[in-house]
Amino acid sequence: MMRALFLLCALASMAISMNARAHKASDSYLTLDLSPTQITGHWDVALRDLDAAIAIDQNDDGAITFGEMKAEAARIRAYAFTHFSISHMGKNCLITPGAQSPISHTDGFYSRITFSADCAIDVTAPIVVGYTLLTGIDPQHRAILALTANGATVTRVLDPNLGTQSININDANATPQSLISFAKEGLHHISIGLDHILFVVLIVIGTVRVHGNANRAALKSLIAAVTAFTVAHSITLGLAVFGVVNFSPRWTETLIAATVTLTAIDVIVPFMMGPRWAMTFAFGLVHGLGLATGMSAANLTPGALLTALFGFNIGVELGQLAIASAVWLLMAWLTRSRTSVIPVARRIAMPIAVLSLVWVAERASDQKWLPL
Amino acid sequence: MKRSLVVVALCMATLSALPCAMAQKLPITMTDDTVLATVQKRANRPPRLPTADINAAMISAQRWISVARTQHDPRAYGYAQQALAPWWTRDDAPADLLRLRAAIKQADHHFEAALKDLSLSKARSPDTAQTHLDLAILLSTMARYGEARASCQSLAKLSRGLIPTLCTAHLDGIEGRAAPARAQLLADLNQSHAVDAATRSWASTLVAELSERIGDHTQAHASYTQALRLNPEDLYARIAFADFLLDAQQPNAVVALFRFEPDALPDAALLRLAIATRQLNATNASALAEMVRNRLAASAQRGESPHSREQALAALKLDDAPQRATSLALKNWQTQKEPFDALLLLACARAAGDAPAIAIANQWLQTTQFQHPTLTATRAIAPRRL
Repeated sequence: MMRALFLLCALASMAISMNARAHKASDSYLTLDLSPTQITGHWDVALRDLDAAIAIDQNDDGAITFGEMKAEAARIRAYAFTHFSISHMGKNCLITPGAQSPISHTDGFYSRITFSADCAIDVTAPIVVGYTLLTGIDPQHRAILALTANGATVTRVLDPNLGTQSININDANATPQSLISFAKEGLHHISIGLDHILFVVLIVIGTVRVHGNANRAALKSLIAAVTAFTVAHSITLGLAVFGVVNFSPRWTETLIAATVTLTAIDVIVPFMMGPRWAMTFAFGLVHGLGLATGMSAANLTPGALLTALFGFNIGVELGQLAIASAVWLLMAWLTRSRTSVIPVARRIAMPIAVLSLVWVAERASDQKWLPL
Repeated sequence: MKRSLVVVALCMATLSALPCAMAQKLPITMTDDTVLATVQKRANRPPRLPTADINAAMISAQRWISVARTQHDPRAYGYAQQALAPWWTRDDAPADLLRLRAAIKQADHHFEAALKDLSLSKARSPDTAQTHLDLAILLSTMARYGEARASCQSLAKLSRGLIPTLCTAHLDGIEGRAAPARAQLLADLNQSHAVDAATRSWASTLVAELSERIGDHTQAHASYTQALRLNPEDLYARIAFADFLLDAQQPNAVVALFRFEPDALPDAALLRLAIATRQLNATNASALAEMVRNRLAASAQRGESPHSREQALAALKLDDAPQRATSLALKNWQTQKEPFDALLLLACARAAGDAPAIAIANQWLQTTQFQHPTLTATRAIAPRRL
């Protein structure tokens, strides 16, 4: 509701309304890679911002061309690097600018300037970045800094109005902590996903049905089945998170429900031949796609994404292991005074089959009938 | 053994047949004449010189704010802020400057800070009609309807004609009195002829919104069309019209509303276009959705972001991620409480089956008595699971 403010204001320039790619606040993107003896990096500054600061539209025709950018390279460099400095342990790190090239961001072209700075890095001391780009022009400008050390990346938003900002390199080594947080996320996801839980339950019951309860063959078969399931859903989870495969959650969810139904029917009346691990592998591929929706992978660098993926998977596995152990013990108790485990297995599998069949119908038709 | 291998093979085949969405960037061959950015010619730009002359500074800020609004360019708000830099933190600034400052803060969704500036401005100059109008609209965005109404009343004492009616009708339309508000507005609209196109466009948009709320789709469609004819630059009207058409299952009409280069569309507009093309299964749907995601991700990198509304809508309608959508809609609801935000929160929460979030939206709906056809239509449907 901005219109009211608008009314009594002078309509200064009713120029082109949908101005080409001008829809974002001003940010620059600064990347610093730390090695023991030097810092390398690149810095993307919007051509629009450079024009606001030092007028790089040479012929003032409202268009900044590749030629103009190249011709103004020295001025761009001079302007940019008087507003950016790095110091470390009380010593200024001399920055040497390198090549410039145009690079496309979501709101248009930027000038990317590579640079290097000679600096002996002590990871226990902070890196101090002096950043004052566009001060006196756009106080809302920020730099998005990504600092990488030892393969881990820390991101910061630099506010030029604050002048300098100090970044602890150790923050970039926070891998274990984020690993744990992603593991928690995985654990949480498995604990709220009744379909995944029931599938794991069925794997255990199915194994017990075939091999009986407390014997070596049963345990071996169970470990093989759970491992195959894990490997398979890790594969598709990875593919989905990295965007290699991408398809509608509606169909993923429907397929997941279908795997539960098929496995439940197989417990009631076995129809799937061959080793159980092959079946759990095939169905695991489907479940991995569903797991991907529970992972918050936004804004992660590929390296961090790998950590996230690993952590998330650990959480999922821990959850599955807990469920499988509990069901294993429960089955042992339920069948303690029986000669056959089949009636017990069937009695558990039947309601699961019915429930999951309703899920299949619900999810395929995008409806919701059950509270589960 | 054989059969299980068949199952594996079938699953693998299904997977590999899926549309693969690999990120790709086409190489661009560039010549010296390749245009990389369009900017305004220097003669057309508001002045940027540092000035201690407060009147020159205010004129410059006002012009940059206009640029920001007409061209949907957030950078221009930054330039406006720079023009006011010497007075940016001073509470003893003149009333008109405080109002400009509030407009810039409001654009960044710093509503409390904007409210403080407008209140100071009102205290300094109680007879400025514009301040009361700005206050009414800001307070209604913050769901402080009692105070907003008081501001409309102050406005009515200072100004005659269509604008005080718009102020009140805007609030009536939220607080369950859409039908009488519309009648009053239409009557006033017929009587006032000497009104500029922008005001008429606002009035038409409000008539359309009120009609939408009481289920008069024909009038809503006609009034949105009218609003855009009066002022084609009006992004608010265009977005509201698009949302109306999406509710009415007319994605084709939404595509027609945004026949511009997708690159040139503001985020909110591009998002509606992406939703419409997705509903149509259009060939460019996934590319547009990706564009929206990239832009929202880029905005989110700045940290505190005034984009939660768009993020929530994208999560719900483009990513089918109702849980994430709900947490974003809740975050948005903490600052922004327009009817659209309430309906969005409700839609996300219902899709996620999130009872506490549904309760928050319902609380607002019950307190305001807000009416909307989708509310009665969807009330019967139980929360959906993902």
